[in-house]
Amino acid sequence: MVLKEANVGKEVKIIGYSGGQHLDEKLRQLGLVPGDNIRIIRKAPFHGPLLIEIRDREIALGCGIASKIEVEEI
Amino acid sequence: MISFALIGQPNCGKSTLFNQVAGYKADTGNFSGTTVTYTESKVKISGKVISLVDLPGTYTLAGTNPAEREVFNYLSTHSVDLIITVIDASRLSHGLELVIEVLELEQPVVIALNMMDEARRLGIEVNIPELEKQLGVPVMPMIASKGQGVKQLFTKAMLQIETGLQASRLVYSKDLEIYISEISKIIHEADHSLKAEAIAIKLLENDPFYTEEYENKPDLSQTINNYLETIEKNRGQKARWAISGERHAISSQIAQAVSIQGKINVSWRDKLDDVLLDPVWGYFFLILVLYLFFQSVYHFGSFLEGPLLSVFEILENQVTILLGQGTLISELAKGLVQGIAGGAAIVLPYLLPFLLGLGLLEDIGYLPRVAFLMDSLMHQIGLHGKAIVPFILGYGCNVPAIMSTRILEEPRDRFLSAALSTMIPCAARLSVVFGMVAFYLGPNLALAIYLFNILVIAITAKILTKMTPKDSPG
Repeated sequence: MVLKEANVGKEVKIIGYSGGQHLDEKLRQLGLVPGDNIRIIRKAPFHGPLLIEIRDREIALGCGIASKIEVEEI
Repeated sequence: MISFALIGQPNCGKSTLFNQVAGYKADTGNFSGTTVTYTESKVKISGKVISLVDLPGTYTLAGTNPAEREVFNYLSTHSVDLIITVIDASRLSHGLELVIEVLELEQPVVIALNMMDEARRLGIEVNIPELEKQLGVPVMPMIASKGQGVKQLFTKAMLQIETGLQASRLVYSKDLEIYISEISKIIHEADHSLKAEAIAIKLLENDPFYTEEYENKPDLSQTINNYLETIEKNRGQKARWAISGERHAISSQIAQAVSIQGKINVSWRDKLDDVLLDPVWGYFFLILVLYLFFQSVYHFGSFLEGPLLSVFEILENQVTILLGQGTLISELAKGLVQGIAGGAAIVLPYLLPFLLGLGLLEDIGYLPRVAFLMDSLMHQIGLHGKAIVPFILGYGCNVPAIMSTRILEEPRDRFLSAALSTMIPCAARLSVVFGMVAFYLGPNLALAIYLFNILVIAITAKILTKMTPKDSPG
């Protein structure tokens, strides 16, 4: 499934991205690397952003990007 | 003159540190041929004057965006005597990835471990001596926003230069190390300003500059490409991701080895976020805050406007009595009084509470929460939630609003936000709306003007969005 579909409070593992080179680079720079675990802290309504916890940080991801990140539940 | 460079990821407190020592006396420079800027200042440490350069915040030195290219070029041509790498202690493993890249340059390095207070708040304790051992360079704890640890950092930096010690790069996985070693053998170190191994790593990462350099040497280029293919076959991913993955893994390891996660002080701030960002209560609270803000500006201002205008009216009459009715000098003096009255009695009573309120909202950190709540709506007009910050600032003054568009990453977003910010009624227009419309026709009409203005901006944004198609993800 994609990150956008995950439920609040769940922990998921990143498997890959479905986008171009630009997306690849941008996500790695943000520190989202395949193999890392993400915990979904909250989601904004109306296809809004997700607040996620990755390693020791919290970052907000737009739902557009969140629908391009492939994850699996842990 | 000795020169230091400040490098760090965005939001690590690098510029706060720079401002602590350089203040407002800094000059803004520009990397020639680009629009990438850096700030530079002369600073006095231990009696010596040194040049301090604040480089743009970058996540990595290996990226393709212009700022990263310029920072990498600047550092690799040894334009500075020492590199101060600033990292956020509360996000240690992410910051360490940049540190590991900087170590590859093998120049004098000192690490500034900033935001120690944030780390403490999250219950994180960092074993600094162990971190120094793992990285092989000095690590100085710091809280730049409070000015703590700043002096010690620079004193240490001066000492480090005197010892002449250069950083050593960390060792990667066996297979990568073999490739790095093989490629560095075919590199003519004398032709470049970086060491052979550093160049080898850059070639493995497909760095634009070095890859192009070596494309002109076909047989060397062929060898390098063979290595890249082998890595891709063995590792199952492009060589450049293998290298960045390596740094990612090592930084995780080090971060885990040196930090102790203690009890997290779940502060009232975190509990407050549950309300502020709640799918229902968040928006309710947002509207409430904005409504209260509007009302308090209006009431504070109108309370003062009437009496202040009366004072100036009295003054004006006194001037007429003193200087005679209808004379040139009395007309000039009256003009002067009216001008000042306009500023003091009409503008200031509304401007002061507005700017104070805006500053308060900014300082308590409410604006990012607004961005979170408004993101999906902003996407409807082709922008990100973050773009709401320039819009909100625009109600104070359009100039800082346009300056704040730097927080947006894509040039297209910056252009759109800056252009739309000019349509936001700034303080000057605010004084007309409040001082005249609200004062004479009532606050509801004033509110209606603001709301209509927002509608016009939204429509304009939608049109502009269609005209400037996005080419970036998300």
